[in-house]
Amino acid sequence: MSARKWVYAFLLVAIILTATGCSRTDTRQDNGKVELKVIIAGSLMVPFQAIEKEFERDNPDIDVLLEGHGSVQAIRCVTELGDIADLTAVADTQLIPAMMYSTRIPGSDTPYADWLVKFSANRLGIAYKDESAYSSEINADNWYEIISRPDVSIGLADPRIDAMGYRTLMTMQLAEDYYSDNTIFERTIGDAFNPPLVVSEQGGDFNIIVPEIVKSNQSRVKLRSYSIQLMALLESGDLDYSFEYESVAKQRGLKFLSLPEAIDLSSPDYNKQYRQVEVNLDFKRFASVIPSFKGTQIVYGLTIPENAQHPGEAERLIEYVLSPDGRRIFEQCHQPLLATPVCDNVQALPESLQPLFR
Amino acid sequence: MKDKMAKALLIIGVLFILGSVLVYLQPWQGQVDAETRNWQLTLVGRDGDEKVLSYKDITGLPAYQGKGGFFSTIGIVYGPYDAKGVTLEELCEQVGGIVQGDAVMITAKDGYSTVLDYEQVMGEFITYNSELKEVPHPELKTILMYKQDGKPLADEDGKPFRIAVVSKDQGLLNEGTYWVKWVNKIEVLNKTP
Repeated sequence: MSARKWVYAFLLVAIILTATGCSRTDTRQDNGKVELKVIIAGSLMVPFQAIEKEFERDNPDIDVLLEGHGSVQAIRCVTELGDIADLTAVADTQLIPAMMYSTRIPGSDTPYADWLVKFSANRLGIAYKDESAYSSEINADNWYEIISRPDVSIGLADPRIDAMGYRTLMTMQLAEDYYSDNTIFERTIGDAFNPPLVVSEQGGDFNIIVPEIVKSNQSRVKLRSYSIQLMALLESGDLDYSFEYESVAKQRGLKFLSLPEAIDLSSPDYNKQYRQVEVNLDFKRFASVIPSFKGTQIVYGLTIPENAQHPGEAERLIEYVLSPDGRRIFEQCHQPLLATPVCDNVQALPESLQPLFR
Repeated sequence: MKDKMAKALLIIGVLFILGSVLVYLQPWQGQVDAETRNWQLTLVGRDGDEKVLSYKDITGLPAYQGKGGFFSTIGIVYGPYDAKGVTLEELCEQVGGIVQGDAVMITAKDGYSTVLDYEQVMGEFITYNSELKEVPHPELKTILMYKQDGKPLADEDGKPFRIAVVSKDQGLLNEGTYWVKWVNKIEVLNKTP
């Protein structure tokens, strides 16, 4: 072989080596699809995963990339941590105005969002298994008596970290009024903490103060950072009962005890009562979020951030979520859509979505 | 003429291969950048004493090496990693120490913070296996990690300092809420009544 042929052979090897992955620079196969980044609350993961599957089948030009967080963190990803999301959906609609309407995109006067769609709701209740102690006895009239028994273990999500945690405190406090028994809060969970949770009343409104450090001093009350940890304990039989959203408990195949609407944070008809309870955290986890939460109906909200890269595709996804197919999928995932989704600022909505709210 | 052309092609080929090898090995990954070198970690003692330490100061303190990972709110598991850093206990010692009943507030550049009680500072956590089942792990340590899998932390992993809960044991996981990224302040909270 001549010198020139050697050189060509050498060059060929060099090119092949580079092309076949000698380089570690990330590469992605260019399939022409739009990558639609959707940041959502953890409790929406199951229905959105089901939506993703059918939506992508019907929209082969779009690849939905789901990312789940706690609701506050889901919004912080957009407003504080520099993530570019095409759609954000959270488990507490109040967070969108509080954190996105009031925050400007750096270098502009434009807020991160100026509209939201309320699209789904949920209810707080008690998840359990057939094997849970006294499972054959528990019902909507005696649950607080059962879960305060010394031989029954209950799980609580940390109110400083998980919205389920502070919502559980609200439900326990509302239960006192509903069942006319002002020992419920203390008997079930209130006396299990050191330092204690402090409840004060003024004119029929209750303020629950959660200290900076929260620890359970009773082995029967298991406090964990996230509700997902409690579900794992329930499934393994290490826990008898845990407060949980109806959708999550049913998606995991657990039994779910519904509580009266007056205390389960599910009904707009009881918003006035829900608002009588407020939880204030002594611990400020996020510099940008005031840790004060008033009781209200659990409603899920979504929006397209103003700096989304693919707003048109995000609009198509929202249309799909709100379509009869989306409604069926959410229904199958035990998280029904609202009978009539509501937009708080129809004029600001993208044009393609406006007809859905007229 | 042909010889010159062949030589030129040969040089281009050699450069091509050298470039590929460099990109593959990424030797610059072991280096710290200016942001890391200039990072300031503020330590505040239980009596209000304050001390500001640089990356160099921190990496000069006695180090602890262990393994640990975490899971997110929705159960996604990250790690376990080989983690190297300084124990929180050691950092508290730098500003007068910590006593039972105290707590420590960890604050990050992005405004996130978490509070650890005394027991957690000393490494007392509920730990999990990869199926998120509660499994005790021996000799836990809470550290300020500055090396993850042998390299300085990448920005998405909390460059330059991140809290980590680790042990000499394999497979330890705990909640991601404690794995604070971009740590810039550690404050001992005096909780003595």
